[in-house]
Amino acid sequence: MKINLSSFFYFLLTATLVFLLNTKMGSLPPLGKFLDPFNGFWQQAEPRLSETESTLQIKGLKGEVTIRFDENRVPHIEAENEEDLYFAQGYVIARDRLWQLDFQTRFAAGRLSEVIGEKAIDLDRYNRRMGMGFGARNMEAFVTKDPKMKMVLDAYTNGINAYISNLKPKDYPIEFKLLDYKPENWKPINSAYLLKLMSATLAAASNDFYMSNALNKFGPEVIKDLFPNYPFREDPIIPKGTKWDFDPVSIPNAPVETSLNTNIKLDPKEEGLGSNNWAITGNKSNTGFPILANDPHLEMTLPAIWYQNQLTAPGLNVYGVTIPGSPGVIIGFNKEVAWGVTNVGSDVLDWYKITFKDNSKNEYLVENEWRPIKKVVESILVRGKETITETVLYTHYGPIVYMEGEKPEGLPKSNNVPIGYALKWIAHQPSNDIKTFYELNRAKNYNDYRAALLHYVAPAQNFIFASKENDIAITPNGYFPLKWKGQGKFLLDGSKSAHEWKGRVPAEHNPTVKNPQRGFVSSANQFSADTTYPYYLHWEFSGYERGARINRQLAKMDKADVRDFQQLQNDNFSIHAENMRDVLVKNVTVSSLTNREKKALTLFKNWSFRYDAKEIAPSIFEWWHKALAQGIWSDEFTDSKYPMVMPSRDRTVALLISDENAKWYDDIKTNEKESKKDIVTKTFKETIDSLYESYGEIGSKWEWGHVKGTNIPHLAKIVGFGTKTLFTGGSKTAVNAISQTTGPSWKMIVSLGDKVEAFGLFPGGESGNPGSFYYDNMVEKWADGKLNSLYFYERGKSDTKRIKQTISLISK
Amino acid sequence: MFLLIIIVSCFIAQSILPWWIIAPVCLLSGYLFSKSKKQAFWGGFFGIFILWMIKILSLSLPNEHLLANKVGQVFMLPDNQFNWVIILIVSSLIGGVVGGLSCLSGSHFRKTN
Repeated sequence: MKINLSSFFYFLLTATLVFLLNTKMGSLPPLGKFLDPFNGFWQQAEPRLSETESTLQIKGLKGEVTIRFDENRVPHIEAENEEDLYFAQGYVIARDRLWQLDFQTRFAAGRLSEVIGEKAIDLDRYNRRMGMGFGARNMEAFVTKDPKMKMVLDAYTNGINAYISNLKPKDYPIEFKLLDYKPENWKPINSAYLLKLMSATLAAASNDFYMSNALNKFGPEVIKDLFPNYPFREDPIIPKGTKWDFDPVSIPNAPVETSLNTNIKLDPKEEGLGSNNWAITGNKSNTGFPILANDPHLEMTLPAIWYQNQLTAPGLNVYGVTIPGSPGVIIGFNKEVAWGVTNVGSDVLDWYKITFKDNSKNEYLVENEWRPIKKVVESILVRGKETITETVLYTHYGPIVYMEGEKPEGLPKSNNVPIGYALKWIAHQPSNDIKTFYELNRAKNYNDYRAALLHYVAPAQNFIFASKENDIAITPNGYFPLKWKGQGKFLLDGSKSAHEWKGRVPAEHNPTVKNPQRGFVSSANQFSADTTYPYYLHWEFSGYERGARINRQLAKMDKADVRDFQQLQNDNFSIHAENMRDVLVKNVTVSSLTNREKKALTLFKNWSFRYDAKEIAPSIFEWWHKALAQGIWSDEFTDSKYPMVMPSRDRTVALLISDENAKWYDDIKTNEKESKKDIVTKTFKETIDSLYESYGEIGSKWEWGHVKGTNIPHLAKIVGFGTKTLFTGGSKTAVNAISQTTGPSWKMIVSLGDKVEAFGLFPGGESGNPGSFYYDNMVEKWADGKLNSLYFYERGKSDTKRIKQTISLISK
Repeated sequence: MFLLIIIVSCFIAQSILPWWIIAPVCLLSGYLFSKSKKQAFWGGFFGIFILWMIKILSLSLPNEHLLANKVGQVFMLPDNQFNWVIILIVSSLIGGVVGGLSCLSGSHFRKTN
């Protein structure tokens, strides 16, 4: 061998090149490793599904499991016993959604920095400090005391890990390769983390500080007028006049002084996500049996939020969707019953001002007693950097999320956290929510449904139900803290025991209705019940418009069928627009308008209140009513030092309809006194100007489908792995509540009867692999408002033509 | 012949080991079998270039280039149905350069030439 300078030079050059191509640099993956066809991303380029049968040997099974995939690649899992069933469910979900499982758990557990580095530190700190781990550990400890649920979680965990243990690096989902890290084994607590994530998404809204600020500025009279505890217009979930079938427990008295001074900077709360469900009795359907519909709305992402599957074992045959990481079916049906959920916006998150004894912060005051602070150390591993260690102070309420100097600047999520306050949050409560779903999966009748709901804690949901026995019901259900009226509307004082939650509303007293006179039940996130309900749940829920539209349409239905339900799910009619159009038009001073503005006003005047994709009027209305609300309220409600929340849409509508001369119309920043007409006209002109600047002359570019620009991004916002812009109608005030990135994350219609028939789909696909044809195959159909017929497999009874692939799992 | 040795030996090695195995395999082949430095580089280059290109096409054609087109966008290319061609060429080029350089290094250790 010859070793000299040139051989050494070439050797070093080659070695350096190989090293660089094997190293992640910034956001670039290790290029050699990633682009290599033998082990890199090309391995995730899946062919179209071919009809095949195969057998896999897996350690940990007791008997044989058969998984049949239909034309949409939905798995229909049949096992000889329950343990094998949940094992196989875990196995299949890992096969389809491994990276999603990993990423979402990391997100919830505050462990993203481990894989994406320092840019995730603030987010990780936030999730840890909100007590996500505290809640998940409480849940895991509680669930595993229940032997049946422990079996379910363990079997599911073993199934996921059986899949992971057989993986070679070339099989890792593409996101692992892009971000250059490895999947790790699943733990039962990860399932708890995912359920906590649902609470974080659905039950973590909080306006308490804004409200305290507004109270300080305007005083109780104005607050009572502008932020009432029950809206101007409402159509509650439990029909008005329903009798309450219980004697209420005693409700705590409100202390005299309930507000606190704050100086917290905040941003306005976003409008809710919007979900719908409804069911009719056999008297209103063409089959003589109930039909049930559900479309839960969420911030949509790819891989899809939901996963469809059918689970069959002795004593169980259920079809529906689940969140990857949660065993069983969350929304679905079996041969006897169907059920679904929408969110209940009850107030289950409160902030308590903490009074420390001294600067050591070892003790805090409750009445006359100093109680010990518990200090919890969090260690955040950061990729390529040193581990961050910090201490979180826990009170008996919960964690003090941020102390002075701990709150990050650039994390919008954390804006609504008041400094020095302890968080009391339902997500910290020990709970056995998966048992509710376990029992619903097996439910045969109304009594089973009622019994199943008792286990459920959070996030509170409107559980809708229908059975073959011709019962329908709806129950806003969850752990509702027992509060005085308005408790937690403002910040609370942790040193006063009167401010504590006084236990819960007994689960049997949660609002519920069975087979109401009107022949249907429904919910769309509005108030659970009217003011006759003895307990306080919240002062503010989502607007009534969607609920009212659903009820209006259901009341008209006779001999209704699945198609009527589908039409209602796709309904773009906005009662908000109906309430507002004429009052707006009437208040525009036409003589001051330009030709373009006159043309726009005519378009708006002739609008049919439908947010259809091809309409131009919704673009005008959407921008206009936002500008108008800003115009009316922002001058009074903007304070850089004490930010506040603006009065609700409901209150704004009430003002515009019934108040000609309110002082709020005047812009206090100008010397002139503006009238209602002035502000309506001014904001209309501004709206048309902005639309013109963005979209040119009035024409097809002004169409709502373009202006709204719906799209579904990738979970980690990886460009290219999301969808293109989808041309869809819809609005947050219409049943079809599609906004830019939120919308119906699962649509389902179930027609019960001797043979159950169901339809549904979600904006995505079963596979989580961007290289699969089943990653987003349902998106186009979803955008067109169509549904798939759902294949409910019964051995020996079903047409097997729809089975495209069969995998048998047998024990090794 | 040299080209064939590279393709066959790297195909076998890559089927069981990570991508960087092509570097030592090519280095060794260059040391043992290359007749000139020029042959070493171009043999290594085209050996891996061809091997990777064939392997890529065998995966990407049945996928109708769905994934490669998306990966193009990940690397900042505009949304285009021919992104896959660019990703295919870049991938094969990277493999080729590593193969070529490795063979060339190997040939520099030879006493002759």
